[in-house]
Amino acid sequence: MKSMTYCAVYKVIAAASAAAMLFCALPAAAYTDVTEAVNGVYNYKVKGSDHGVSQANDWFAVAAGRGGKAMPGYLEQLSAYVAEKYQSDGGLDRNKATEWHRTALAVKALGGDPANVGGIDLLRDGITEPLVSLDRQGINGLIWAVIASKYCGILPPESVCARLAQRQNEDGSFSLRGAGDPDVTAMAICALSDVPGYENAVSAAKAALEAMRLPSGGFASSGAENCESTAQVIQALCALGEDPERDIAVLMSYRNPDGGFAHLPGGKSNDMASAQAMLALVTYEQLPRPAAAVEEPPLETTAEPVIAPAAAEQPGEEADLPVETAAQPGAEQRSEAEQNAEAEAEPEAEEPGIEENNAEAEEAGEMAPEPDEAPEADDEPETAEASRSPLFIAAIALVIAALIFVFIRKRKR
Amino acid sequence: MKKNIALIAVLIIAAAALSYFFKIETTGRYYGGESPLWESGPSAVLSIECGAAADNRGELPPELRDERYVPADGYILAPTKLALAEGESAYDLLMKAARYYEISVDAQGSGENSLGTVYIRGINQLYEFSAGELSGWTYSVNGELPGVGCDELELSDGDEVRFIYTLDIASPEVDEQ
Repeated sequence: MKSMTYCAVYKVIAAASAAAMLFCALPAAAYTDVTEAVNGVYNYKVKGSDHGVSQANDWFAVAAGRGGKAMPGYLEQLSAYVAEKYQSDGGLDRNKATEWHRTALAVKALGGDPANVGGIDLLRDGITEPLVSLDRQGINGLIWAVIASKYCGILPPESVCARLAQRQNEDGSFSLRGAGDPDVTAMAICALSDVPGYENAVSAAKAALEAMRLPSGGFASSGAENCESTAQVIQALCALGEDPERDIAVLMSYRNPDGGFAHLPGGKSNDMASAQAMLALVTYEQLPRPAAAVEEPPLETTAEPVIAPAAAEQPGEEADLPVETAAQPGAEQRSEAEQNAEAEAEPEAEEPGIEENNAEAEEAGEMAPEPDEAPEADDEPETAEASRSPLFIAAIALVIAALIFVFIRKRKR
Repeated sequence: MKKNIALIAVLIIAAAALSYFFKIETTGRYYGGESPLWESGPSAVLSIECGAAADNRGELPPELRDERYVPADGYILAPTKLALAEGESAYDLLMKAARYYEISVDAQGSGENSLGTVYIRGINQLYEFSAGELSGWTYSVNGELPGVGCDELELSDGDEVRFIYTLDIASPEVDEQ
């Protein structure tokens, strides 16, 4: 009789802990959808015919670089484009500083040096000593100067941040003109999110952004609910270290069977919408979960590229563990598979996650290494998530309790 | 003597025949295609206007203040009646006229932007943001803002299309001029 009871209790504990561990796995399943979506939209671009230099392709490059995917030849094309524009027009655009900002972001993401694109310094000409005044095109010039600074590893100029903050509307939102616009507000949040001294502005903007959310969960710009607005909001929430799960679900509703994303609900796949969606998903992918209790790195350490959306987490204390353990197998894989001198040249990587992916993207040059990269990107956040979920802790506790129970029983005998 | 006259006559006839059978035109006309001016059938009236810029030349950078870019009367293209082909959009009409009159148009293709439509960046060297952060090109059809990209708006016989350079894109006053 006694042994029967003992068995039953043990079985109950075992079953309970198994169930708890299963529950922990469920959020990870949702996460796999994101990876699948990223691969899907990446393939949509790769299989498409438009691989020339364009605004949308620049954004694809930023997403690809950040997500560890390759855009073979694009960095060279972009560098050639920059050289040609400088030669014919003396610059990238006559009125828009954002041309420099977006190009710098793409160059950086692809592993190039935006301060030296064939001798041209995009950061100087677009941010610190801009050839076209940042105010010329309005608020976007200011926002993207700050975002590009952070991503490319220079300190955002204080006067630019100040001018940007000055344009904040009374209700906390930002816009090109007049009533608050979700895209512009979200971008402004990305820009000011970890710049010291603008915390109040950012939280006011966040509140205003939430107020602009439609009943459907999406956001509308110029009266039209669209994909890019949601994508931008996702990036803003990631920058704040918050979970944009709801917005991810909304974003997925714009996904088409061909892997691309539509601009308007029910529309056909559009290049820009797809690029922005991919960027949002990749940023979300790299957000370690849970985001709570992460120490924000000090902004003064200029050596570290402080990437806007993942900035709060990437170099943080807690993030180090999963990132580092993944970096080791990565390095081995590389030297094994490629034996490329470039692998050694990457060591100054302040952010092992991003730099490693960039190096792989450079060396890969093709889509072939895809299977290697995807599981790596997957494993990190899954481990991080599972290891800190309260359910998982409960499951471990139950297992330990069961073992103690068995031990005591054995001793009693 | 007779031989010379005969020779000259033959040469003149030959020259006349050549000029009749071979179309001689400037490169602009060659690339611009057929004249888009209306002769018969469906038509639309097109104008390209920059009155606001003409009235506020100070807002423009010095190099754009010249009459070449911003004519004094504000008309880069005065209202002109053009032949309208089946299914032509406002953008098609603009490009047809621009090629013929040799007016530069810088348009961004429909795959390039979020909107999924053609976006006019500049006409006749007047660009978005050239006259302040709210400046740019917009267009109206029959006095109203269509609210869709110019390549998405199919024109009808008798439509009046105006491409207008506004200094306030947030509230473009299309009745001005």
